[in-house]
Amino acid sequence: MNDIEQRIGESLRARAALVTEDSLRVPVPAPARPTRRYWPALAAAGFVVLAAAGIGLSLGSPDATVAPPATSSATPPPSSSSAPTTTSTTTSAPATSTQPQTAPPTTPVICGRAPCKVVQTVRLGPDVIELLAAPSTLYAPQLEAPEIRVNGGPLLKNKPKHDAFVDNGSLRCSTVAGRSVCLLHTWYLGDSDTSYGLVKDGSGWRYTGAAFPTPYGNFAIDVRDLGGDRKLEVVAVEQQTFSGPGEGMFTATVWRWDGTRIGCSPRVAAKEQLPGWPKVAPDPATLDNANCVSG
Amino acid sequence: MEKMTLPGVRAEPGGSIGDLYREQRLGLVRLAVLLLGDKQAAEDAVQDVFASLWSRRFHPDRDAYLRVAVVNRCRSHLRHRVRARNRHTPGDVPGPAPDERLALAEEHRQMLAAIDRLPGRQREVVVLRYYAELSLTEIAATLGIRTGTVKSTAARALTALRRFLEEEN
Repeated sequence: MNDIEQRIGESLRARAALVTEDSLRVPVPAPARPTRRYWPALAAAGFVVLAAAGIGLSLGSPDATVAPPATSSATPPPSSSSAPTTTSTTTSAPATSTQPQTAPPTTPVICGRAPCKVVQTVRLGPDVIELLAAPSTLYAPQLEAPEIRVNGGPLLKNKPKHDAFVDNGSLRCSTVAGRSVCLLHTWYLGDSDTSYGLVKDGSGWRYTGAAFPTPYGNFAIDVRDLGGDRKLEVVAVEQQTFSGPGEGMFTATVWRWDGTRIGCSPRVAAKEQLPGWPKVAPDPATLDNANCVSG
Repeated sequence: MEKMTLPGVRAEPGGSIGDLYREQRLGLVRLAVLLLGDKQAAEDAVQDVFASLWSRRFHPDRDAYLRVAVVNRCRSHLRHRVRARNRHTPGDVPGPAPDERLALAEEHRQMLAAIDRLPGRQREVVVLRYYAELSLTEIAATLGIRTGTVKSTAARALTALRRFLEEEN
């Protein structure tokens, strides 16, 4: 290390040393007693624990490497479910199971820099939609570099940020106002959670290009037709992390399907108080950007 | 489509996030101060990272995870700061507060002022290299860039710093 490098280190350490525990605004909280600003997040964490146990969600440990699309990828697999949407977090790859056992070894599909695993499988009508990702090399067991594959076909193009993380609950699909749609929920270290829209049209499934950011995560996010006018909206239940005395903590954020935000519902103290909970459907006339969690 | 578990997630392997917060906060705020030049914003960035961990019930067992999260939160903050000013300028960092400047020796003030003038990526590399003392590989992983890019960025930063210091003198 030469002289200037040494001086750089000394100056940076001198600057950093000015920051002491006593100089910080927010004191270190006592155990189990968070700072005022973040008590809603702690309450949410507690709720999440109970709720997750109640609905039996579990994070799988995908370990099946995904093979490239079968040559007959355009042919949807037979639907054996009567429900419009089913989801599976099996670690096997349904599409690959249709390939002949005698097929020669092939190069695995790559998610980012590593072979893809099937993270989640969702069946919507005749389509089997797979969320693929690769285990993070740095942050296992996080799964990163998500890709979407439909009926064993090629990976969808125009995917979101390559290094986003996903899990086995990230892909949510439904039929709304006669249209087949999905939301892919992703997040990134220290950065905003973001959901991305997918839609099926005449040419198949594709990303719409719309993004729905929820900076501190969300308790629910769904595609809706709020006005019954066959125009799609996305509704997310978010929690305010900053709030003044008497202010409610929860709001429903509503975006148009193209990603433009319409506004947020008036804040309430508990998410169960949001109109229509758990299928939240705020009155469009009440939406205001001033109620939103982020600017 | 209720989404109860936010992603992440694995049970806390030992110790609580509160413990982690108490252990790591000061060091992370210091790192964020060097990246943002603003103590209040640095505290907010670190708080945001821990709030995010809370909401996901995710307990990282590697310092690298927290470091990346803080660096990304700082980048996000800088993006917003630049957007708010509706312009982009290299070294968009306010630097130490006046009382803090007084507490620093003149040689440090000069060096820190020079570092504050560096573009964002160069500043990140300098802070991670010479303050956090990370290896080139660790810096590459933290910033999501190639090791070769770290080397070239560090070299450009050193050249720029020498020039800034010569201008000062």
